Order: sequence, then C-alpha cells, then structure tokens
Amino acid sequence: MRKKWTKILLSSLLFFLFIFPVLFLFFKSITFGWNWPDILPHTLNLRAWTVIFNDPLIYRSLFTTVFIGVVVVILNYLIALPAAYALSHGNPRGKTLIETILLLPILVPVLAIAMGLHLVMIRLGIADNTAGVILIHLLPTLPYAVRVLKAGFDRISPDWVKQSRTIGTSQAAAFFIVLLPMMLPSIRSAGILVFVISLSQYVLTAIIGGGQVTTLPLLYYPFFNSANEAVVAGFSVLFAALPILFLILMESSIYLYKQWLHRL
Amino acid sequence: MLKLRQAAKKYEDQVIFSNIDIAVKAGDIVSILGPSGCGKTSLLRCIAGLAAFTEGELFIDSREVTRIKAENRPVVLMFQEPLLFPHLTVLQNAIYGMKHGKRKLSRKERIRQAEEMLKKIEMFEWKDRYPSQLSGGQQQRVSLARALLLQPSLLLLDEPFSSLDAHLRHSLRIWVRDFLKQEGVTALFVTHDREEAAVMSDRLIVMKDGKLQQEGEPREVYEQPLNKDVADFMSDGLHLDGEFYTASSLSISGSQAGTYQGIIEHPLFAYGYTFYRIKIPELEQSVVVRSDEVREEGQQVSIAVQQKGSAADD
Repeated sequence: MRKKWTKILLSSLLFFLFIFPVLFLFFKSITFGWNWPDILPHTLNLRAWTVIFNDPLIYRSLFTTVFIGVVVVILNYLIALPAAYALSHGNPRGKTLIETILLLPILVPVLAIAMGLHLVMIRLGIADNTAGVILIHLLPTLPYAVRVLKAGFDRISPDWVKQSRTIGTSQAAAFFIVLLPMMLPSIRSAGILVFVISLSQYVLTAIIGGGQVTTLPLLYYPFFNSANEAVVAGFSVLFAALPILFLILMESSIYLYKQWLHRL
Repeated sequence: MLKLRQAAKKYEDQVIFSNIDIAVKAGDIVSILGPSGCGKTSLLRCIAGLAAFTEGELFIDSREVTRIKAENRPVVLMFQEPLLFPHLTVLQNAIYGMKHGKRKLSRKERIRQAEEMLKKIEMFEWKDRYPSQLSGGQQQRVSLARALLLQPSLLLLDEPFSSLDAHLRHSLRIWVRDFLKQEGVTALFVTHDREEAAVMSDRLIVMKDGKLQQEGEPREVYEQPLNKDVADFMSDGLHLDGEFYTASSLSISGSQAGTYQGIIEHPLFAYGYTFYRIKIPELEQSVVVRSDEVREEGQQVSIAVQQKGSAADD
C-alpha cells in the first residue's frame, strides 16, 4: 500500500516538474489574452503560431541552428571518438597532461578564449560566417564529448578488439563492427549533450557570428521583448522541440546502422 | 606445422620469456602448462600476433609469419572469456569471421557452413538467440565454432575453460578435445591446470619463469620430471638426494620401520580412493599418498620408499 502511494507521489512530482511546464507552454501558445486572475483563457487560437511561421527569419534560423548543431555533433564524433579511444585503450605518453589540456576549455571562461580567437578568426577570414561559429561551438562541447566517450571506452575490455583481430578483421573494421555497437549508449549521450550545448550558445555565436549567423537563441531575445506572451510561449515550444527532432534523426541513423550490422 | 625458434619477449628490461623452441605436428594438441606469470599467455599472444616477439622466428605451415599482423596470420586465438559479440546473434557470431575475417565466403556459402557447424556443436536451435541468453559453456562452444569456421592452420586456446564452474569444465574439456580430434585441428593450449593439460593434450610443455622446462607426453612428464620445478608443478612425490620418487613408489607403513617420519595433515577423496597429505618435517616437503586404512589428522606415520629399479614387476 505504502509502495503504491510512493509511486503515485513520485509520478505526479515528475509530471509537475518536467511534463507539465512543457504542456503548459504549448497550451499558453494557443491562447489569446489569458491573464491573471482568469483560470481558463477566454479564447483559443493559433494566432501566435501564425506570427511565428510568417517570419522568414525564423525559418532561416531554424535551418541554421539545426545545421550547425548536427555538424558540431559530427565533428565532435570525428575528433572525440579517436581521442577517447587512444586515451582509454592506448597508453600515450603524458596521458594525464593530454587529458588536462582537453579539459581546459571548460575550466577557463569560454568568453576569454572566444575574444582572443575572434581576432584570429578575423585574420583567417572565418569570422562572421557559419564555419567560424561551428568551430567556436567545439570549444564548450569537445571536452564533454571526450569525457563521456572515454568513460564508455573504459568499460570495454581491450580483449574485444584483440578477439576480432585474431578472427581476421582489420582494426578499422573491428572499430565499426565490434566497438561502436558496444559504445552506442555513450554515443547517444554524447550526441544529445553536444547538440543541446550547441543549441543554447548565445554569446559565442553572437561574437564569432557577428550577427550574420542567426541561430534561434539570437532571435530569442528580440522575441522575448515582444508583449505577446503567446508568441513567446510558442517560440519556447519550438526551441524545446529541436532536441526531440535531433533525437529522432539520431535514432533513425542508429536504426539504419543496426540493420546494416545484422545482415548475415 | 608450427615451428618456433629461439623466441624471446622482453618488456622494458624485464624478460617475459626467452630461448623458446617449440614444434607442433599437424593434428596434435599440445599444452603449455605452467604457474601464473610464467609467460605462457604472453607466448600465446605473440604466436597469435597480438604482441610482437623481441627475438626469434615463427613458422606456420613452413611460412615465416614473425612480422605478419594478427589479422593475416593463419591462426585464431580463443580467450578465457567466450567474447561473443553481444549485439549479434549466435548465427551472426558464427558467420562473423567468414564475412569480415580471415576466410571470406559468399553469403550463401557462409550461412550454410555456419549452420552446419552449429548443428555439429548442438547449438542449431539457439542460432537466433543472443549470447546473453546462453550459459557459459554454450557461449564457449559457439566461440569455438566461430574460430573453427575459419579453418585456421593452428588454433590457440588461452585457458578457455577457466571461467566455467568445475563440473562444466570437466565435461566441456573432454567434449572439446574429442571435437578437435574429430575435426583434425592442430591446437596449442595454455593452462595452469595439470589435470586439464593431461586430459586435453597429446604432448605437453612445462614452462616456468619464462623458460621451457620439459616437453613430452603427459605420462612421461608425470613419471619422469626432469627437475624439481617440473616435479613440483606437474607430479606428486618426494625429492630424495637429488632424485625424484613419484607417489606410486611411496606407501604409508604405519609402523616405525619406514624411512621417513611424517604427520597426516588432511585426507583427500578422489575417484573412489582416500589419499592423505603428509608433512615430512625432516625433508621440508609434503606429499600425497594413497591409503586404504582410515587415519586421523595429526597422526604420526612412516613413509616407505620403494627404491628405483627394485620393483619393476611388483
């Protein structure tokens, strides 16, 4: 009996903390003039959503945000997977030093680094464009990705790769066919973590993008100043939907990969 | 078949093994036996190509393979753990090597051969299961199938039964030996269990401190160990004046007439007989002797030694 009540209490707590706010936001976005002390809104309509979807800037920035996020995730995998593998299963000289250097970007205030890098990027000609923003987004993401993936590799015995080599698979093939499937949980967490971090960058994007690269967070502020709360709510729902879109994208790729893996 | 000449492995000034010469005939099962840390596992990994010899030459099927990568050597190594790929089914695991590995076959052919092999090891009904759904012994059988489907010139086994419980270990090792013999597989087998080595192999090699101590048929090594280390590890008996007397030449005389005085430490029961471990303080040795009389722990006994050559037709 007590167990049952605890369960109910926990579920309702979870609901009110995590699900209710999102539902509320969504509900808010389809209301009109819902002010205190009204318990229910006067009218329901899609005016806020019409405002949002009639803004061409939003379409462009939605695309830019997702594009930058996905490229940042892919670059993270390309750099962090080999690095984490070498740190975990290899025995490079100065392992601790390398690990510390890889962690530095999150120990030193990112803003300080970004200011310096901005000058370099201007000289290189990658300031004020998407490439520069993608590069600068690696700064707050890569250290986490290496951490998460290294922890994943640490759990896997080096014997797996040895076993598949003695069966005759090259080291590269062993990586894709044996290690990667075992790494999927870590790859999932690293991916979503990196995407969400990239998604919420405001200052870095603003400095390096120079206002030319408009991601959703950059539009968020002007929208927030608008008097219409329904529009702000709608915008927030849209923002929250992006990680879900990313999850769907990632899960579909993983599904295709598994299908490929299971061919006889 | 396999020929290893003057092999040595050093790791940062530390000698793991040295002066190793081994020859294995086609179709033979040879065991390398030795205590933990004697270098036997490193030797096996070097033969597999997963680590490099510091010195020496390795020939397999008369071809020198010393510098060839593990993935291109005609050998397969089985580890202590079955290491079946957890995300693949039993059939997919069996097929793995014929798809990505040393023996590439067409899709139809690899499925046919894998299914045939799974029938032989009595795992065909389990072909669509995942490794986690199998018992330890079943996993090790599938692992053996995956290795043998590659038709390696030489199969290397690194204590493949050590992760199993005693009962399963006994039945599986006999099954594996019979299966390897039936398939005509040449195998090199590493273990620290002398009984396992004796059951499994045609010949055995005793190793200690990185050196080969003795090579021969199991009975030969048991009855005529060449030195004290081999005797201690592989045989039962007493060292007297630089000579070794196996337990079969010892008996408990009970009276004071025997040559050596001992104290019964504890009894052992095996294969229908009772044995006693006896401590002999004056020799600083212990020995296990069979006796049909019931004896107490702590009891004083005398050990009689049958002199060599005197009991040829006893």
